[in-house]
Order: sequence, then structure tokens, then C-alpha cells
Amino acid sequence: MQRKILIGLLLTLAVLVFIPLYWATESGRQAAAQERMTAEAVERGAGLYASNCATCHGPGGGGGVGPALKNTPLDEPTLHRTISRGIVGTAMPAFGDEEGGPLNKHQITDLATFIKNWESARQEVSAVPGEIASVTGPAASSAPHAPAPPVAAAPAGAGQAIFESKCSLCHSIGGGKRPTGPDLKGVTQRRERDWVLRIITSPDQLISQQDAIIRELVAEYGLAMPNLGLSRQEAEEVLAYIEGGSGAPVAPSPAPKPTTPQAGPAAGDAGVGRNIYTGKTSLRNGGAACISCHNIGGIGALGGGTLARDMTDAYSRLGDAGLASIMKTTPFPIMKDVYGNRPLTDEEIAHLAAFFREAGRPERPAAAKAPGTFIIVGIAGVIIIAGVFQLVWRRRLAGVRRPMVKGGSK
Amino acid sequence: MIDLFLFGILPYLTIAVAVTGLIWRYVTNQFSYSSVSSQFLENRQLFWGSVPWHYGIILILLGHLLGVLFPGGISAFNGVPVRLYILEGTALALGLLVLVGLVFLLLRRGTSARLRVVTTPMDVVLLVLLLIQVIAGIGIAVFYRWGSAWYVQTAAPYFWSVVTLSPKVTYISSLPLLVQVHAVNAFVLVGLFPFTRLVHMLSIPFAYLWRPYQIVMWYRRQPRSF
Repeated sequence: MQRKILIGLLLTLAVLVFIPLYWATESGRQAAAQERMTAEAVERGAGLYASNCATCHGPGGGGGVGPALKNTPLDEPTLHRTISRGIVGTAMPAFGDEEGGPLNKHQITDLATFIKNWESARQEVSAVPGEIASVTGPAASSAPHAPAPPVAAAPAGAGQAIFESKCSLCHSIGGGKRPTGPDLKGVTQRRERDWVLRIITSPDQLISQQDAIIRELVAEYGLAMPNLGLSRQEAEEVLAYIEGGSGAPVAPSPAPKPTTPQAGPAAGDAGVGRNIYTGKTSLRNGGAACISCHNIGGIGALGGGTLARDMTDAYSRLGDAGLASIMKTTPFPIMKDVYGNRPLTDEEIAHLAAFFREAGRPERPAAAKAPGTFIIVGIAGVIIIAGVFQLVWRRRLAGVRRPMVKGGSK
Repeated sequence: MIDLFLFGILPYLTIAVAVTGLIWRYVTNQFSYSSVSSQFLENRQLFWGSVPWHYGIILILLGHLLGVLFPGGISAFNGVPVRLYILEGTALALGLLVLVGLVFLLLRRGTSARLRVVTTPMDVVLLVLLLIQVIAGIGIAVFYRWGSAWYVQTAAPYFWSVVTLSPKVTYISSLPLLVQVHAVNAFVLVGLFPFTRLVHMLSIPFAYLWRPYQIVMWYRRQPRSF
């Protein structure tokens, strides 16, 4: 009996000692594991960077065709999204496999981690350049959307150049349909040639004429084709290229010249976008503030309007390209009337896209949906007003007649 | 096609009917330009019907008018979410106040035996149409918020397109059904205006404000002795 008690006491003591010891070291252990995993991710990311990004963004991250990525102000989620979806209107293609690119989600996370931890990964990067030459070639040929080496892009027909700079961000030729637009392989067999030329040169005109095919496409993809400012001549060249290039899947290659940094969707400021959304900053052309009809998280106690769609998840549904296209063309019935003569400017679109990207983050507050609070405010208002009526005008209608009747019957 | 009729033709039709009807009524039955007050027959329920109804509806209509006249001003005011919420909250409170008043007026018409004698079919039609209008308005405010913000960008330009004789029906026809009901019902009310007691809107007794004092004298059976 005594022995049993002794063993029990000893075990209790052991547990009592073990728990604080475990507890004291656990946080350090977690931190160490985190560090190790980051280091591993950085290493994997460095390899991916060398084979996919270094061609345009420079082996040292100093920039080239694309902007410098070393010490980039963008945070990891933004990098992740930009890498997987690309940037519309620039040579940055979508790398995510969901968008038809060569990288899966985990690889893109590794890449973003690597870009954000450039300093700690200096050794790996300096070791990489020798590797680039051996990796770039096969990667580009095997992956449909990896940027081809600049050598291959230099001599290209006018149609190809236009396709790669203006069309390939949303469309592929024989690479299957993308979330942003249909596959253009054999498009002239499916549609009349003249119609195809019209949608390339003046899609907005077709949209405003309520063209049946366009309506179908807008319903399917949730966005309409923007006017790219192409002439009939240029459209013919692009179409000739599409008709001729129906063989192998076409990879968008980097523009032959370094493009000047333009105000693409990524350049917007979320804070400015928020002010445009709520109407604090009026739209340059006098259109309605977004809050009038669209709800979104984090703009106020009672949220935004509920006439149209909730925009909280707009960024994850449509991405930069889709949002820019919709804000540019406003293809939906009410928006067409409201913004037809008062379009959003490119700058406003960029700021708003940045705000949608911010608002769509999971850690951001959800949109105030139910009208409960609003109704309570209204009912409280009625009770207060009725109380005032009671206090001020209790005797309003009775004031003259009743005393007269009373007095008369005395 | 139906849109073109409802929002492109009906407004002009009802305005034409209203103008002709008002002239006809003025010429043939001038004395009837009145609210045909029934205060003398019943006035306790009338207080909770008439007072909330009139103060609410005057402000609500004023709001609709301001939105049409100064769309830019309303947009600027709504630029800060808190101000938008205050405007919308006030408007909803007034809308509910109007509904309370209207329900009291309907109950009063239905329950008082004296009133039933003087009630015409048109009175009932008018009250029911107004009830539909008010419920649709409150429904829009609650389910398609923020009406004050999108009204100035849809209904206001539509209003001016009608005034300038080039109605743009898509402004209204692409809005939700409830909003279309609200608009069509408003046109119907305009058309019925001359044939209902609504004409009392045109006979506001402004002169009452500067009428001379009246002296009320009492006849009593037994005058008090001093």
C-alpha cells in the first residue's frame, strides 16, 4: 500500500516537472520549426525563381523586362495572387495551374516566400545563375505558359506580337479555355470572320447592340471584352496569326522591349480605392459611388448597398483582369446606364481593384448583410417621432371642439 | 415592349389625364377641391392616422424631389457612410411612420359606421394604392439599400429624360421588380389624382396664415354673476 502511494506520488511529481519543462520549450521549438520550414520553402522557391522568373525579373531580383522584386513592397498574399494570375495589360503571364500556368499552389507559395526572404537566401541566389541556362530551356518548352527565353521572342510577326501583348492574357490558342475568355483556336470556323473582326476592333459597340453571342459569353465568363484600341488592319493581322498558329499551344513570351512601368491593376492604392468606393472621393466622370449598390466588408456599421452583388469575394472570383474588364466596360444592365456616359478612369479602376484585393482577404471583416440593424433604427425612429407627436399635439384635433361640447352641456 | 409602355408612354398618358381631369373638375365642380374632411365625424383615430401620414409623406416626397433636383448634392452628402446611414435611417423611419398613419386611416374607414356612410369607392381605391406604394417603398429601402444613393443615378436621370421628352426606359426597366412596381404605381396615382380627394393638395389654405383673428363668444343659459 505504502509503495503504491509512493509510486503515485513520484509519477505525479514527474508529470508536474514535465509539463512546465515542455511548456517552457514548446514556443521555441515551434519557432525553430517555422524557421526551418521557411528556409526549406525559400530554397525551393529559389530554384523555381531561377527557372521561371529570373529571365524577366533578373537573376538577382534587380528587374529587367519586369520590375525589380528584391525588397518589393508587395506582401506575400499579393505576390501569390499576382504570380498565379498574372497582370492584365503587361507581359506578366498567369503562372498558376488553375489559370493554365505551370506552377501549382504550393510552388507559388514557395516562390512568394523566397521573394519576401531575399536577404536570407542570398547564398542560394548567387549559386543559381549557372543553373539558369540548364533549367530555362526545358521548363519553357514543357510548360505552356512559362516565359520563353528572349531569343525565341525576337523575330515575330506583327500579329503574334499583338496577340502576345493584348490577347494572350485572357485567351489561349489551343490551350483550352481560361477563366477570362474562350480558347481562340479555330475561332473563325465557329464564328463569322467579320464578327470576329468586329469584336476585336470594337467590342463595346457589339455589347451596346445587345449582340446575342456576346450576351451568352458575358453570362458564361462574367465579364465582357474591353476595347483594346486595335485597328481593322491590326485585327486582320492578329486573326491571321490565330488562324495560322492553330498548331502548338502558344506561350506568351516577354515583350521584346522592356515595357515602361504602367499603371496596371497592381499599382492601385487600397486606401484611395476605399474612398472611391464609399464616395468620399467623387468619381472623376460623375458616376455613382460603388457603396450605393454594392456591399463589401469593412466600410461601415450598416455595410454597402444590396441592389447589386456583394463585392467582398469579387477579387477571388474575377481577379485583376476580370475586375478591370468589368469596371472598364460595365457590361451589366444597370451599370451600363449609370456608367455609360460617366465611365471610370483607369486610375480609379486600379485603386478600386487594390481595394477589392484588400477587402477580400479572409482576415478582413465580413460585409454587414442582414438588414436587421437598419430596420431597428427605422422602428426606433418611428417610436421617437410618435412620442413627439403625443407630447406636442395630444390635444391637436380635440383642442377646440371637445371643450366647447363639454362647456355647452354644462 | 411592355417596358416601353410602362415607362415610356404611361407617364405621359397619366400626366395628360391628370391635367385634363383637374381642369374638368375645376370647371364643373370647383367646390370639390377639398380633402372632404371627416374630422367632424371621428377624430381620435384620425390623429394617429392623419398626423403621422401627412408629416411623413410630405418629407418623403420632398426627399424624392430633392433627389431629382440636386442629385450631385445628395451624392456628396452620402459620400461619408455615416451620413448615408443617417439619411437612410431617417427616411426609413419616416416611411414606417407613413405606413402606421395609413394603416390607422384604413382601419378608421373600415371600423367607424359614420365614416362608412361618407366613404366613396374611390377613397378605398386610393388608400389601397397608397398602401401598395408605401409598402413597395419600404421594401426597396430595406431589401435594395441604399436607395437614396442609387436613386440619384437612376430615377433622377430617368425623370429628366421623361421631362425632356426622350424617355430612357432602361433606367427603370433594369431595376428590380419592386422598384418598377413603385414607379408604375406612382404613375397610376398621378393619373387618379383629379378623381380622388388628393386634389386637396392644390387647395392648401395658405390664406389661413394671415387671416384676421376670430372672436368666439359663448351663449350660456345662466350667465355667471360677478
